[in-house]
Amino acid sequence: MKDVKAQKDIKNMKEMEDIKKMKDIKDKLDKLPVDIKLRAVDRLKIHIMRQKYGYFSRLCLLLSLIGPGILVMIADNDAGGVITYAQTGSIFGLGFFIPFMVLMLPVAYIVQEMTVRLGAVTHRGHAEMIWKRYGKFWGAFSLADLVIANILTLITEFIGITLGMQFFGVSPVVSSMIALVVVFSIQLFLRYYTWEWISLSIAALNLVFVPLVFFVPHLHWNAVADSFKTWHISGGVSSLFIYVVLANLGTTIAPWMLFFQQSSVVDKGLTVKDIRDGQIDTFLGSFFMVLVAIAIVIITGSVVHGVQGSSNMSIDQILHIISIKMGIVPMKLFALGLIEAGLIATIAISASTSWAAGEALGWPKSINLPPLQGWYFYLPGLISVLIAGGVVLIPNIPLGFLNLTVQVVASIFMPAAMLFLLMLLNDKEIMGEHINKKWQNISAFIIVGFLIIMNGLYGITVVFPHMFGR
Amino acid sequence: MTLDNKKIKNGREDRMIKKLNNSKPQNGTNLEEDWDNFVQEEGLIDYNKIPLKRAEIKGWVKFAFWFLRIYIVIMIVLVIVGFSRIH
Repeated sequence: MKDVKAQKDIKNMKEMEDIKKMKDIKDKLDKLPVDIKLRAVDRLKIHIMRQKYGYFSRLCLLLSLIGPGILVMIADNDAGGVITYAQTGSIFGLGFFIPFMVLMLPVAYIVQEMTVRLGAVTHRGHAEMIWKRYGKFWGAFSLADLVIANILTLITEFIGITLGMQFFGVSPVVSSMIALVVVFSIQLFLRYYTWEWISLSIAALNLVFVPLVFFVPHLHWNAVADSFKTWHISGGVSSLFIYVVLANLGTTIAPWMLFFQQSSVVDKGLTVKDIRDGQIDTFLGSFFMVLVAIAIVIITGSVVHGVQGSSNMSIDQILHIISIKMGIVPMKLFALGLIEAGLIATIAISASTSWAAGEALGWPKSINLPPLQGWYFYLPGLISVLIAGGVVLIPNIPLGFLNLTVQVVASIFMPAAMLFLLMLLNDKEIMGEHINKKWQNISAFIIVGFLIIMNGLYGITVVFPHMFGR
Repeated sequence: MTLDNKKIKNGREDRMIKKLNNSKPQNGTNLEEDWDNFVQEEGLIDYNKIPLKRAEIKGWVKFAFWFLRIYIVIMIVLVIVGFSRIH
């Protein structure tokens, strides 16, 4: 009898001790600012997972750490990107652009991987690093460029959303309103952990283009395989070909992506211990991005290419031909992919605006901030979404001119953003042992140099369209 | 004690603390004792309050800045010329 009582007492004491320990940690958490407290809870989860060994635990840890890389790459397949890939396929068919898209994988990976290391080591976003390391002028220049480019890009996302929704019988006003409500709700009412998972779930819809390939009637897989051997350019090298190469490069890396992934890595709370997982995340994202791009090129390259006027078709016309040749359901799925592309990019781009403004101006900057407490953090991103959602409804708006301006602003801004990235990654004072290695610098300099030349050429060709002949 | 128990049971934060309490540290890290180290390692700090030194502009970085300035000026001139031709 005494033994039972003694055991009970020991159990009670242990329970009390456990509760005291838990309360201690809870008190310590409560002392942190609210955004950091929520991040600390997420990091506690990672800490617990690190205590476990085995392949399954390692996989669970990886799944908890991935997010920013996949999100940024899928969001890069935005409405403008989907339209560019669709037009690329319809103009050039199955040939050069399929292996070309595969080449974009290392390009995207090498550039974006640097943002993971920079964010994990410094715990600061790209805008903050430029502002504080290189002064107010370059900080303000980068922020202003980013905000302008983001607003203009958001307009193209809303064009994609309203256009795609029209195929479901929804008017532009209603679709713009729906998109605004969805984006506002996601940004304001979700904290980072749920925000990331909801965004990733929306991003998963981007993969809708991949199964669509199997609905292509009489698809010649041999032609797809041959494209890797021949790199055949339908119609040969022309000014149109150069323009399309530059447009595809332009959609592979956009300025907002550098800012987004670094800030996202910081807000998620990744540390130097998580760099490896961040790299896997970025690789997976690059892989999905390229997979979707190739799928779109295969679809339109097989179905639309060769149809009269295929070298100069709008996305409406491309969708119309898809519905004739593949059926209504594949066409609607394609339109759904376009809507999703616009929506996920709107979420990512508006978040990048908010993060960058917060970082540059020294505000608390986290999606973990409750809306009432951090309204000024959310404001820049939401205002830019509101402007884009409104502008797209203006009748007879010069959309072509807007698109052109986006490309020009990006081509001016991109070299600056990438050079800052390279400078920061070679800054031993802040990067320590995580500084770029020799091979990383060689590959990064080649890619960044190539992108700078191509971006400059692209900017020039959009304002001087006949520079490379007619 | 019942009240405390209820308090600890609710929410993601509490679930995480409970899990932490149930997990057996294998690498010797004990958060109750090493909280400050955990906060430091995980970067759970307000970095706005930590000043960042301005970079010294020398060597190839100086060259990169000049390249940027020239690139931007050339691009802006080209854009102005191009846009004025469009309209």
